[in-house]
Formats: sequence, structure tokens, C-alpha cells
Amino acid sequence: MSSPEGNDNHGGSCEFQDNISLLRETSFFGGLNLDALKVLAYLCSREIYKPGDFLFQQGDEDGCAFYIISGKARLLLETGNGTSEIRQYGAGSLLGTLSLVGHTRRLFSLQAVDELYVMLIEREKFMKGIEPFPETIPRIFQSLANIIVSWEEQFISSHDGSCGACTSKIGVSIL
Amino acid sequence: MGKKQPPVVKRPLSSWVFANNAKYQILLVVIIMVTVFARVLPLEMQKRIVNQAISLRKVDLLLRYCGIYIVAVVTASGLKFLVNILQTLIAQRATAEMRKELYHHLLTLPLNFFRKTQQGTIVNALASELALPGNFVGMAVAVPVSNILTLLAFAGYLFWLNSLLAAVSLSIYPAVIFLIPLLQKRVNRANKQRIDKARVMSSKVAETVSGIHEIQSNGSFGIENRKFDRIVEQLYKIRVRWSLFRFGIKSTNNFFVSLGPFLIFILGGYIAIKGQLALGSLVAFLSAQEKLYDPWKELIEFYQVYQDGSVSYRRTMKLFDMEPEHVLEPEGREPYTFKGAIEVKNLSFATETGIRLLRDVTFSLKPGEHLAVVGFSGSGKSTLAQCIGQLYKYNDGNLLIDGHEVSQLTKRDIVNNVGFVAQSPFIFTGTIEENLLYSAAARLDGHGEIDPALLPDRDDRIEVLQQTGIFVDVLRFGLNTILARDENPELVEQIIRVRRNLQEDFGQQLAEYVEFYQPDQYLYYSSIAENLFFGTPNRKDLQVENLPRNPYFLDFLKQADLHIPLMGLGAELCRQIVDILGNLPPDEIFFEQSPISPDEIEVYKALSGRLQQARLHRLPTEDQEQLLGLALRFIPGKHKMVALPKLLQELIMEGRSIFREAIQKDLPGAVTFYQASGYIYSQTILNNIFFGKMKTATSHAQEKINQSIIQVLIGEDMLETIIEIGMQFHVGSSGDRLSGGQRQKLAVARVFLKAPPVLIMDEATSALDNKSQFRIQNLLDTRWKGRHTLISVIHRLDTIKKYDKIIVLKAGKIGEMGTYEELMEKRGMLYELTGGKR
Repeated sequence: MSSPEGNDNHGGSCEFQDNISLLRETSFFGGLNLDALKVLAYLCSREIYKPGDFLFQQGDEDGCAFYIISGKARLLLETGNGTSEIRQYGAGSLLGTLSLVGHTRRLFSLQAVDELYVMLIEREKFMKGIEPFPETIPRIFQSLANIIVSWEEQFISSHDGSCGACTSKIGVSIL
Repeated sequence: MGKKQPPVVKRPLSSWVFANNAKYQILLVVIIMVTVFARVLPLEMQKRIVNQAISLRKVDLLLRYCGIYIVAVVTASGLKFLVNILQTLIAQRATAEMRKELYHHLLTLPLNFFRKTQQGTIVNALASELALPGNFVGMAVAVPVSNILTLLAFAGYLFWLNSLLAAVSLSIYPAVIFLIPLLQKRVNRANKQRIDKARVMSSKVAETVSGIHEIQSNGSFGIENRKFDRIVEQLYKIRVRWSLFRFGIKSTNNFFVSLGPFLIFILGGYIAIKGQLALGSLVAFLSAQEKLYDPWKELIEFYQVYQDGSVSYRRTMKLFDMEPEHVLEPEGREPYTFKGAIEVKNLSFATETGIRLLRDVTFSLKPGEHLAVVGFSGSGKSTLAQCIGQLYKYNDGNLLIDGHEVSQLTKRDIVNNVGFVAQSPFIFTGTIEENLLYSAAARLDGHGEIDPALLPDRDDRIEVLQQTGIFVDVLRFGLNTILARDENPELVEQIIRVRRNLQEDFGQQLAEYVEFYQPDQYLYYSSIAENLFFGTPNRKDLQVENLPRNPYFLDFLKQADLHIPLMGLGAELCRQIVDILGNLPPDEIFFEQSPISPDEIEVYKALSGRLQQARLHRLPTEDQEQLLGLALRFIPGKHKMVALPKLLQELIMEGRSIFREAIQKDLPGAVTFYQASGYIYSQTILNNIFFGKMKTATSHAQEKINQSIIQVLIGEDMLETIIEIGMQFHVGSSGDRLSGGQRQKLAVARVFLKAPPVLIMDEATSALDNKSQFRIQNLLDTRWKGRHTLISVIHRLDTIKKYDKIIVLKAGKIGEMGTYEELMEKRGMLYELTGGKR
């Protein structure tokens, strides 16, 4: 896939090397050893989304994780009362890692705000890619646990017990 | 199908001897009579030649007898050949008939049979075990008749020559007749074991083939090898024993038979010395006695074939000896046409081992009503669906369609009125179209060829493709087709016209996803070889796999200063790929983005080792060719592990024009260059419409491209043509070239095309994406409701709101029943299933 600047990235450093550095920047993949990282970087692909394009929609079982290289995306929740925007993500965000680990349906939709350039990896490729490196599996579990716990930690500290209704629903990290 | 005959599994082996073959068998007997006479005649001639012609020194008699002799011998040989032809014909016809009938029978057997019987056993029985019984049928008349007649004729002749000698020389046969059946019993025992063991072996092979993924991913070669070796060892021992006993019979027979001449010499010689027997008669006697041997041997062989054949036959028929659960065709009436009212009363179903999967299920549906069946897995949902579809025979209660008990209906009644979509539907080897028409065609089937005019027409076919959402897949298959030269000149012209319009209307929009062919631009999504050629080679030695060994091409590379840089690129690719993939399992998924295929990786691994030790130009020619070949296949936009150096890219662009000039001069016509006005026969329809290649194959990009392509194709009135080409796509063995979702869509489409009054869907859309599920559900809610009765087993509860009735099954019983609103209000089991807490 070409990069958004249209210089097609050819002639300079190759996409594979770039993918390795991008993966290393993330907390999910950063802890993996280089051999596994190389294979995963090789299995990643790139994609461009136009403003308004959906990366995935509520209810999909697409099984993809996305890393935003440039551009912005918004997370949408559809309820009986219409669609509401939850938040936006910018360059450097890694989204959807949970769907790499198991079959899950999307509870939200993700939509490109402006022209969005992402690196993505599919579950099937991810699973096949880590299979030859069994030592990476505990690290992946650890990363997932870290992400979930630190998410909730932030949630609790930012609400400071002041959000009456939502306190009864917190506790995803003790599942 | 044998309508008046008993079922094939009940027929005795002997019934095949005359069935369908009576004419041939009678003809055989007639020919044999003549043959026997023609066989005895030479003996008499032999006697007369010695006793009359030679003794009396009469040349005319010698010539006459010799003449008769030769005519008899030629006739006997000719007729023998004819007998063999007839015998082969009968044997092969019988085997073919047995196979067909048994296969026809097999298809009607209850599902239970297939659950209990190993695939390999069935294949083995049908494929190899019927050959022996077939052989027997071929021999059943010819061999005993001809040999017994021959035996009697010779025996009679012997008695006529000398009754004492005849009696003595025939006295050995009763001994043989007594001994051989004793040995045969042991042969039969071994033969039975052989058949059973061969079945075990076939099952093992079949299991290996279907479980090969598990074996390779576990690396359990040793375990499986030992299992198989053990079976083969056992089979080997059984086969040796079987063969030894068979030869034992032959040897015993040979021994006794060769005692014959001994008796003649000792007794006949004595009588001749005494002058009571003419020398000619003794010679004739010896010859005739010797001639007894052949028919006798053939009879013994026939006996063995009979025994082996009937053992195989009984064993095979016993395997399939089961009654179909339902009559196939109605007798004395037309098949019913139902409105689709369903009445289920106290329905129960238990497995053979007594596990009750359904208990006392009662509900009713008016024609056109839609019922959703929900519940946890194991609650009996699928069993209920399969009972209504007559796939399982319920044990208790009533199940009525339009007042007719389902268990009493014929298969034909069900086929004409009920459509069934299974959760993991089976797709047959063949084209999309064949699979699409499968259910509709089966409904028309009257055991002959189906009149194509009665099948759903093109518009109907395309409509169901759209309804089920497989339309875009079929479009893609069509677009990915490579047209054969001169196959469809009109289409080719149209495509070139479309190409122009597409460039004008969508060129800019598509540029993001498509790389168009431009003679002055490097193509990142084509290989280096394609970049150099910018065309299609028309000669074998210019095809990419042969280029590294083509001296003309190598000369050109050297001239264009490309040879060493390309080898360098090849070396870089080799090193990188071996570094990333070298130690991974040879799984397709790892090699999709690599110019090296899984079966080549070992070669390049070794080559990468040699690269560390020697400079490029010092490598053996073979290695240099390998590296060059790798570089020529390199597609920078796809093989991302290495970047294409800017300098090399410029050299290639220069090389493109040098090559073009050179080859047009040296080998005119060897390459067809890409031209905006010319069709590229080596590439897909899609590439030809684009006059370029897609940059990525992701579903996102495809969706984007589809929108433009469909618009253009509709504008040019070509959409249906491409869809028709797509429908000719071969789905692979058991549909393995389709995704799970595509298989389900195709299965739903084929039942939609049949449009039966009663439709049963057993989680029929579980592998589909959200959009497709809702599309199909929407169609059912709007166009099927009120016209076709629907029973749908559903796992996704967000699609059940519009159903007329919902049944929640729990442990085989109806837990609750009602409309969605009623049940949600009740806050009972459905409410709980949808995630609410009581």
C-alpha cells in the first residue's frame, strides 16, 4: 500500500523495517523479542481510509488490530437513541489488540475523521506469527493485563468516586 | 433403481449371473458347445494320422486329416477368444451394475449409518471389493459349462478308446474333490480377515488425509507411521497366508493330476507291450489324458474365484445391509404440494443409546408463519430442525405438514416442499452455478437428464446472488478470470471500451487503489520482469521462470548494466526472507507476501549460507540463476521486506526501452507490449479493465473498487456477462476455494432459488458478517413472511424481533413460547438469553 504522501516509500527505507520500529513503540508489542517482532512486522499491512470510511462497524467480527500512522479516527457507539462519539484517536494509537487474542464482536464502530493511514494486522496472521515463538505468549498476556488494569486505574482516579451510576459497573480488571 | 427386485443388499450373488446378461450367457453356451467339439476333433485326427495315414503311407489321407486338424485348432482358438470377450463383458457389466446399485442404495441410508461407518471402509467396499464377485459372474456360466463339457467329452473319448485305462486315470479326481474344499475353508477364513484388514487400512488412509493438518502441525509423523505400519504388517501376514493356501490348492491339484500320465505309462505301456493296444491309440490316449488337465485346472480356479467372490460379496453387502428410513417416491399418486402448515404434537426424539434430545415438543405454525428456535447449545434446536426436515426419524409424537405425518411422507414429498440449510453446508466440486442450481435441479429430477429449460433462468439466478450477498464474490471471480485467446472477441472489445470510460470517470478516484500501466512509469505492483518487458512474452523461453537461463536475455541484462545489480537484489531478498521465514513452518500464510514459495525455502536457505562465504560473481552459475530468478519475481509493492533502490529502478526504466527496441528488431512478435488499445491475454479481466493492477487485496480496498467497477459495468451493460463468467468459477474440491461465509451464502442462495413452501434454516447465517446477516433476515421478514413457512434456528438474538413466534428450548423441552414482546415482558428465559437478569 502506498503512503499518503504518494511517494510510495520506495527507494528509501523499506516498509518492513518501518513496521518493526512502529511495533516497538507500542506497549503491546514492544516487549516481544526481535525474532517474533520481525515475523509480525512482516505480516502487517498498510491501508488508507478516506474521511467517513469505517475501519470496522459495531457487530463486525473482523479480528484486526490497527496502528494509526497518521490522521484521526473517531470511536462511535450506536444505541437505541442514535449514534454518539465516544472519543477520537490520533497518530501512534494502537486499537483492537483484544480481537487479536480471541473472536469478539465489535461493540463500537471506528471511523476515519480525515485521511487515515494505518498499519494493521489480522488475527489469523498474528496467531500464526506467534505460534513458533511460545515464549512470547506469557508476555502478550502480561501486556493485555497491563493495558486493562491501567485503563481502569485511570478511569477510577479520574472519576474519583464521583460518578454515582458508573461505580456500580466498574471492575472490568477483576474479571 | 431396482423397484421390483429386492434391495441390492439382499440379492444373492447368483442373481447377478443372468440378470441383464441372459442373452450373453446363452450365446456363450452355444459358442462353448462348438468349441468343445472343435477341441476333441484334433485328437481323433491325431489318431487317424498315426494309425491310417502314416501306417498305410497315404499322403492324401495325411493332407486331409491335417487339414481338418488345422481348421479345428483355428476354430477352437478363435472361439476361445470370443468366449473371453463375452466373459469380460459380463464380468465388467456385473461389477458396474453392483457398484451403481450399491451407490444408489448407499445414498438413501439413514444418517446414522454414516456416523457409525468410517469413510474409508465405504470407499474400499465400493471401489475394490466388488471386482472379485464381478469376475465370478463373468465366469459363472462359461467356465463350468465349457470345462465340464470338455471334461465329459474327453472322458467319453477315453472310455471309447479304452475303458480300463480311462477308469484308472480318472480315479484320481475324486480324491482331489475331497481334499480341496478342506483347504478352501482356510482360504475363506484368511480372505475374510483380509477384507476386514483392508478396510481398516483404507479407513486409516482416509483418516490421515482428512486429518493431515493436525498431523503436520503436531509433527506426529512417527505416531501415525507406526499405526499405519502395524496395520500393513498385519495385512501382509494375512495376505501371505491367504496366498499360500490358494497356492496350496493349486499344488495339491497339480500333484494329483500329474499322477495321471504315470498310471497310463505303467498300465497302458503294459497293455501295449502285450499287443492289446495300438500305438496310435496309446498316443491319442496320452494326449487326451493330458488335455483333461486344462479344463480341470480351470474348474479348480473357478471354484476359487467363486469362493473368494462370494466371501467378498457377502462381506460387502452385509456392510450396507440397512433399510432406508423413508420411501423415495410416492406410489400411485403425484407428490404432494403443501401450503406449509406445521403441527408438532408431543414430539420426542432419542438417540439409539437412549439419550433424549427432544421431549414433548408441541407447537403449530400456519402457512407463511415464521418461527425462531433459540436456546443454549445442546438444547435440541438442530435436532428439532432435522426432524422436521425428515433427516432424523422421531420416536414419539406427531409431526404434521399440511396434516400429513412427516415420517410417512416419501422423500420426494419432502424434497418438493421443504428446503433445508445446514449450519456447515456442503458445497460440491464443480462451478458456482452447478452448486447454485443444485436444490432446484434435484427437485426437477426424475432420474433422467434434467431439462435445462425448466431450471431457474439467468435473472432468477442473479437475483438470489444479490439477495444473499454473494453477488460481489461472484463478480470478483468473474473479474479474476483469465480469458482464453479468441474465446470471446466481443467481450474483449467491450472491455477495452470500458477501460477508456473507467479511466475518464474514475481514474483519479481509483489511483489510490490501482496502479495503471504507463510506459514511462515504474510499476511497483508488477514484478521486475514485467517492468522490463512491459508486455506479455509469446515464447516459452521468454517466460519469467526461463529467463535466468536464456542467453539472449542475459546478454541484454549485461548490456543494460542490470545483471550484477539484479543479482545483488536477489541476494538481499534471499538473506532477508531466510532471516524472517527460514525457521517458520511452511505455512501458506507466511509466504503470501514473499517471492519465495514454501517449497523453495530450503533451496534458498542453503544458498543464503553460501552467500556468506563467496562473492556474487564467484558463485556457481546455478546459484547466480537462482538469485536472478528471485529478483525478476520481486514486486516492490507486495514484497515489503526489501526496498527497491532508486538507482536500480532508474536502470530498469532505461532497460525497458532498450529491451523493447532490441527485441522488436531481433525477435519480432516475441512479446506483445501493453497497449491501451490491446487486450492482455495473460492477465485477468479486472487487470484488463483497469489496464493496471490493484495495489492491495484487502476487503476495504475491494469494496471501494467494487463501487466504481459495478457502476461502469452497469453503464456498459456488461455486469451480467461478468457475473455469468463468475458463475463458472470452480469452487474446488468440496468448495475449498470458498470462504466459510461464501459457502453459507451459496447454500442459502441455492435454497432461495428453490423457494420451497417450508424453509428450515439451522444457524444458516452464522459465519456471515453483520451486514449480510441483516440483509438476509430483512429479506425473510419482508418477502418470505406470509408466503413461505420458516423455521429458523438462531444463535444471534438481535435478528429475532420480527418472527411470529419464538420457542426457547431447554434440555429438549420447550421452555417458553410466544412473540418477542411477550417473552421479553415476561422476563423469563429469552430475557435471560439476551443478557438481562431475572
